[in-house]
Amino acid sequence: MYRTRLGEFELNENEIITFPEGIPGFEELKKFAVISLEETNPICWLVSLEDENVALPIIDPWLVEEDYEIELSENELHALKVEDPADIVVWSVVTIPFGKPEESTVNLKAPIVINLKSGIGMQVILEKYELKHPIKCRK
Amino acid sequence: MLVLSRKVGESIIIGDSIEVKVLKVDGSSVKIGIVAPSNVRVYRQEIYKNVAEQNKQALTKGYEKIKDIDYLKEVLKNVDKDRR
Repeated sequence: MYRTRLGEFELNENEIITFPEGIPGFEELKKFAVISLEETNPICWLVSLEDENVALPIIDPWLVEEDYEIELSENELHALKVEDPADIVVWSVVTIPFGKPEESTVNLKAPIVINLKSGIGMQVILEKYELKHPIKCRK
Repeated sequence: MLVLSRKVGESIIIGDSIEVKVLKVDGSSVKIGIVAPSNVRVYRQEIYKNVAEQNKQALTKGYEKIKDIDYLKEVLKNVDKDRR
């Protein structure tokens, strides 16, 4: 049983993702899980299993950028222990300014990359894309 | 802070596995080559700092922003629709 920002969850061993380096700003936190909630779908949550104050909203980046592409370096592939690219999932962190959801942005520059098979994750930093990609509203 | 001088083509070794080499100097700009093991991640300092800052901004208090989340859900739904 894990206590997180979004409540208590029972998690299987294979749902626990280890970020060996933490993520920038939270380098000391190594264990996370991706929680998907019916009420917030398609927004999911990257929650720390070590600090119940830490939960980041995340979405599928292709939802906002159809042609999004990421290229992982040899080092990153190695650190993630990637054997099959199909094991990889990619998430982008969403920033939702309090009370101003219309100003929400998606961090396409630093996607959260997770190898579901090895249970290893990292936030990689890409050369291209914006740190604050606006979520465009339909007029 | 350790300060040392290097010429172009010279390097420094950090620990026993990280090498930092000065490749080119052009005015106030220096081109550096880095050899490091795969578990050592190397970033431009300001970019790493910006990402850390953005992560902290994205931190939510969870359900306290449920109205904002509802709004965003609608927007994302429409983005999705537009594509089809």
